Amino acid sequence: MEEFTFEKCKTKGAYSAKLKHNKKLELKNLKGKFEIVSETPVLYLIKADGYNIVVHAYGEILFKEGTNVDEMKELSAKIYSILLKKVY
Amino acid sequence: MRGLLLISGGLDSPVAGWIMAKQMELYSVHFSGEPFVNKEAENKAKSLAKAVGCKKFILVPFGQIQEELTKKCNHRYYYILTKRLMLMISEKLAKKYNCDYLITGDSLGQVGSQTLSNLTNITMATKMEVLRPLLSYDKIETIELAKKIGTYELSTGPEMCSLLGPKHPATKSSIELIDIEESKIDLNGMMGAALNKIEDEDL
Repeated sequence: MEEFTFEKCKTKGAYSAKLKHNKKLELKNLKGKFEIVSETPVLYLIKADGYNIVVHAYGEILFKEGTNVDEMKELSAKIYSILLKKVY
Repeated sequence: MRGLLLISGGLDSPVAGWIMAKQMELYSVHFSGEPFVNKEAENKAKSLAKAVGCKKFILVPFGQIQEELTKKCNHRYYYILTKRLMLMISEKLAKKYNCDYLITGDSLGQVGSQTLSNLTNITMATKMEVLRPLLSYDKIETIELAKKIGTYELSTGPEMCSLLGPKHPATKSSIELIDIEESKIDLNGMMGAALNKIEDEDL
């Protein structure tokens, strides 16, 4: 499983997952796995398990609302496992 | 005399508003990044607008515009293009609400869009006078003033304005290049759609 940190972001007022090592996220791999609310070249906004989630191409996952940290961490791990692609 | 303060909810724009509130009545406009941000950013901007003495808070939905710019335009010009659009929309709001000036918290050199070259090209988006009382302030001066007037703590709360922004924004631009980028989007259509959905409330 990919290692990441998970904490409340002071400036963004949301919980955020960040990869410990920079990796490229293939955002289009989210299609068909989650409901896509909005897609741009730099981030997707998705809905999953009742959460609104911003998935940024540089590797950050932001939960717009939510307080259940364990649930959000589990979801972050799932998203990372779907998206990660090694860049050489 | 009345000024329209473009308030992001960050550190600078409330301080700019506080300075100008000594000279004129203030209204405020906030460009909401929903659905990419939650309501906290909007609530914070409103609280700051009230704290610096704005009499009205106008909310413009801007998320779809940000999305469109990100999809269709050269991403390096994202901040320049969004700021130009904000000024264009603010000019229309200024006419609607009888405001004589636009006010922003820009200062020179702090971020990519705030170089002289870019500020010139951003300002060309409007025919109105744009007042920038923090233009020559450095960050430390702005922080000290924010602490003095009581907006610092609130300004350090939630803000997601850079969520869609590039890692390496353009520090220089030309009006010709900007025209090319703006021709890739339906400017009038997007502005019209946003203006049809504004909300306002007295503070």
